[in-house]
Amino acid sequence: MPETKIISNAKSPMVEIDFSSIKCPGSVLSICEHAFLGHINIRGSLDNSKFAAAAKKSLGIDLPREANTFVEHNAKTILWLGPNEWLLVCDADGTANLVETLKSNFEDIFSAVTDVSGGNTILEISGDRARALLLKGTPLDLHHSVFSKGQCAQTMVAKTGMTLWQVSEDPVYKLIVRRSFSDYLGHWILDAAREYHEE
Amino acid sequence: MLLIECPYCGVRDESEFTYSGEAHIVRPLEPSALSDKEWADYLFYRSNPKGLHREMWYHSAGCRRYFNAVRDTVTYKFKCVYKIGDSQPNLDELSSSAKHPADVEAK
Repeated sequence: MPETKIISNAKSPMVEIDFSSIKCPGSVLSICEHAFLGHINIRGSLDNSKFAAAAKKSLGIDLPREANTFVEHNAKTILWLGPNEWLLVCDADGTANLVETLKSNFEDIFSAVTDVSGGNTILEISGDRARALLLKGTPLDLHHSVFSKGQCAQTMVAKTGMTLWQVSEDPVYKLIVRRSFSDYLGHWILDAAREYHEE
Repeated sequence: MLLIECPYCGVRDESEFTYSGEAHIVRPLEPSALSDKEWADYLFYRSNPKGLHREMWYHSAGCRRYFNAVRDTVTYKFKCVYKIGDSQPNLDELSSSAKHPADVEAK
């Protein structure tokens, strides 16, 4: 099993963005970054029972079959990206081992496992104004009757591609953005949040 | 804002999609056996109907899958969407099918 090396001087892609400069209570709007998590892209067909079984054996839970949904299991989040594509988000420490486990269990099965951790970062946005803030930049309908806890979607916010999922009804959203776009998105969010500042 | 139904993700905004040209154009099995005119027909010439048009769309900001759609080039209305490989819908049936209430109101 390969060892995961954590580079001690690694910088988060949003190192320049100070979300604590948003002056309002956390119940109104709270934003933080979850950098350096493991992101694993998994591709294969659930119509192939061997693939489905090998995925469950590796992850301890079935891959979500229903469109626009995600599942959580043992500190892992598995998001539906397409009819034959999923994204697994996990702790950085276990990423390399998980990739190896998946690859060995998928041996001889038509599939692909790719570690894409280096390309992404995750933002968590919560509070009463979280939905309103996101709606300034995304065409996705986030009304609770359409999009609620347990659902995910790939769409755009402020012209940046994102994978968004709703963790709780409070609401708490998490969104994955490419690290090359994250500085731009961070500045866009700081600007969009200005109207929620409290004196 | 135009809403388009992706056969995989459901209804999403137009800005998530990319138009990918006329659907059901099959690459000739033996290009070298074709005349220049036949090759040019395959490569460049497309139908340009006023009315229903079968076309490919790409959900570029979503699930990144291609699918087919029948769209009215006059009204921009999507009559139906179907997956790549599904049988082609009958355009005559689609054009004669009952109009959406909004269409009637618009007149």
